[in-house]
Amino acid sequence: MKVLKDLLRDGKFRFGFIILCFLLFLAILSFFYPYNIKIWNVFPRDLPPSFQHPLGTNSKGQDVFWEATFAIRNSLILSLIAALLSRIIAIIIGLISGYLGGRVDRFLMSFNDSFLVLPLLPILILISSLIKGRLSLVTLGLILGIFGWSWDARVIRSQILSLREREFTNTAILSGTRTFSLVMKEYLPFVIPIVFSTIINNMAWAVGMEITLAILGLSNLEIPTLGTMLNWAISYQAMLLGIWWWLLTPVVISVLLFVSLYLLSVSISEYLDPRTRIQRIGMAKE
Amino acid sequence: MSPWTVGLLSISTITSWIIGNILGAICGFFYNKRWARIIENIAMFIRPLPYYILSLILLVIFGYVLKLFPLGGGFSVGLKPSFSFRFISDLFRYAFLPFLSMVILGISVTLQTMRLIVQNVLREDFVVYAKAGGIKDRVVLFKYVIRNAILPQITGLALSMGQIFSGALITEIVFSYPGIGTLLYNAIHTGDYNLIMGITSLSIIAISTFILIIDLIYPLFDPRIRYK
Repeated sequence: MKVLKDLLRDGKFRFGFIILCFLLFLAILSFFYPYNIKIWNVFPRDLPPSFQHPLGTNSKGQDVFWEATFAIRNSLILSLIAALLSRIIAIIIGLISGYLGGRVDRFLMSFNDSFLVLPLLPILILISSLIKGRLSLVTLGLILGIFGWSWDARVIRSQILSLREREFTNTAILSGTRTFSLVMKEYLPFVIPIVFSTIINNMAWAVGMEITLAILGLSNLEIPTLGTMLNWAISYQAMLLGIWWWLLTPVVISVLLFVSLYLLSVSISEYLDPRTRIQRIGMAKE
Repeated sequence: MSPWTVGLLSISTITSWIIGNILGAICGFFYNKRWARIIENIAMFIRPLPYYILSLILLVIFGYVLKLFPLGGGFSVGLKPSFSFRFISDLFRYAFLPFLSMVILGISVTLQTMRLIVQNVLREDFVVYAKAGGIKDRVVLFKYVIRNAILPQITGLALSMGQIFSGALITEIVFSYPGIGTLLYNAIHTGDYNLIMGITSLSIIAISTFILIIDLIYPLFDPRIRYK
């Protein structure tokens, strides 16, 4: 809680946090929708925004506001799945490779680097065009998670390499600590902050990838996410027909989401960086 | 196909790199001025946006609301590619929106990295000494700070030339621009594996060549490196 208080002093973090809380509130609202979101023609088509439909209705006969709440929820769930999976892989690879060193380290890092340079988008397009119809949210999240860990594994490894040379490692080994409990109890607390700052970046990346795939028409278009909303709006020519509320809603929401996640990650990484921390204290004194 | 993409991408990358570096250096140097803060904040808002969202916004504003630029394609229907004035002006009109979307994003990314590097260089002893010696701000900025800060950015230019391929894919599809990205997308969609292999090999060769060129001309910028 004290950390959150410290972070909220930063204007960037406050702004991002407020926007993210607002989006989360919208996502929670989606649980109170009385009908099934996948059913078409629940309402009359193409109504402009009014009191009954705050953001109008689309050409599929759905309320855009409710569709947007579901879209935020699904996009966030997907990005969380991707981020958590890639974090777990990154922590395991980083810890093993950093602590053991030697041949294991070399093998793991060459594997890691080959993942790092893979051209992601063509590969994702290939995978999703192969299993297009059966691509559920969870599957897509897992696929994105498998591809998103390599950079952070490198960062964690370099942190462990520096921790290994410190005094307390020798003390722990001499006092008879097992390797596993040493890594888990002594090193993990140093790694956790890095994981937290990268998890947000990874979430933004996953949402972006999902939107990309959906715009290209490569994900399951039945599930309402930000990308599929955009895809439907574009394929129904919402812009040319003048149904601006349908196209603008996902665009504005995704802009808000990306900006807020980016601001959060920037301010958290600034908070964790000791050099800028000194600057901040200096600014507070002035 | 390839001249479309190569022309568009090389011009937009280099333009965004140059403008971004200059702006970033100025923002980093005059970090306590109000306008520098404003530029920084604008860049901070643009940077996280993905390519297609930005291109979509630009399409709506310029192509649909203002009707200044066409909504997509490479040149008008019925024109034959030739060196006439009409065709070339047409080319620029159609290439402007994809160009703009990539340049805006590129500028904001380069600006932020450059700003960080410049602020680190400003703490170095030689800059403090130059300032204390009474050299004009402008000379310090261009002769002392930028020449040192530009080195990592040159490596970044080579890497962005390589990384731009995925960005080009999205941009070209959004604007239905007749380039390599659209070709690759269609190839993947129809399962044309030979074409995919060809395009991938081409891009790998291009990236490696760029990195080699950068390695070879690096001593020109950095006097500390001399090939024996």
